[in-house]
Amino acid sequence: MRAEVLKGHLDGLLLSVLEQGPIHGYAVIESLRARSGGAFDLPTGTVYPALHRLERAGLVRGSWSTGPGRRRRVYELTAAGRAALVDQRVSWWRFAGAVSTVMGGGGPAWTPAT
Amino acid sequence: MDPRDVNAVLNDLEPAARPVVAGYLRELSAALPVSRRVRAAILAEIADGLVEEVNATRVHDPAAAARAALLAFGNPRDLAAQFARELTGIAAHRTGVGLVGTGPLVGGIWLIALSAGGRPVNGGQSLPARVIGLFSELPLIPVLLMIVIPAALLALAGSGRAARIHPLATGAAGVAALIAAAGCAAADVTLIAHALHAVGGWSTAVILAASASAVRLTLVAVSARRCARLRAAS
Repeated sequence: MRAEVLKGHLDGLLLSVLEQGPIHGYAVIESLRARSGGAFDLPTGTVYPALHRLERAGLVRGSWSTGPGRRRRVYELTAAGRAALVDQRVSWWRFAGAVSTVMGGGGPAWTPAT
Repeated sequence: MDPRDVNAVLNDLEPAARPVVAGYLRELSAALPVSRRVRAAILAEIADGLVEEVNATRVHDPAAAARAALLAFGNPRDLAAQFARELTGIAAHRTGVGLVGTGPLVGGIWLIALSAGGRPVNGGQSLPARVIGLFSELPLIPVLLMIVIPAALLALAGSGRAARIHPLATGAAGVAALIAAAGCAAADVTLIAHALHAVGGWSTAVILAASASAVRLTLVAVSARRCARLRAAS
């Protein structure tokens, strides 16, 4: 999948990866690759400015790790980030359901959370 | 280990891979118009990612593995432009915060200075009358305020909570910050020129107001320059 296709969804994907807990930038990239089965083919470097964008918006918090070994910048979701992830999930299911309906693929249909 | 010590990070690579990665980082560094501290932090983070990518690459030759990792990371100039775009939003936000925060204070000091020092502002002693008096003496000031205030508020949306509530492209926030900064500088220069020419003598209050304006002019110039350089690089 090319970078342009992912462009509008990258923030949601990153928030989703960070939902697991605090991780450093490269682990975010690895998780994106692993969870997509290698389908996401975007320049690896792109993820770092995107993480900074989320930090700028207050959706993630970045800090330098203090443990042993090489120190790294670790990112974690903020409360605003968790709320944004819920919104992005709802928005995605609506979008994916509508596209599937139109294209006749019989894919996921969005149902509101109970 | 200092988290920003790129050389220490590169020591985790095979010697043959180091110059390849160092070259990439040099190119990235050259394209980043940011302070030394911010540049060091970005380079350390990218270096860390590159080291991981090189070590994860299943290529036996270290230099070839490094080249494959750089290919995966993308063009360093594109990466620098993406960072610059994000940092433009932060710089715009800071400019907006500075202007919104100092505006009422510096304006208030000028109002007091032009009423108390030298020739009083027309319009009596009540605050609204003083403001109207100042505006009638310096009609450029209300015009500039009508530009600066909305532009500074737009610049605030470059980052933080305001960016979540009213998302604004960082480029637009940068332009808003530059407009607000230019308008603010024009207002400060107008007030200082008015104090120099129209007000008889420099009272302590006028000197204080002019000093406040001079400090703000300096800060605004620094902030606007940073914003303009980042915007140009993004």
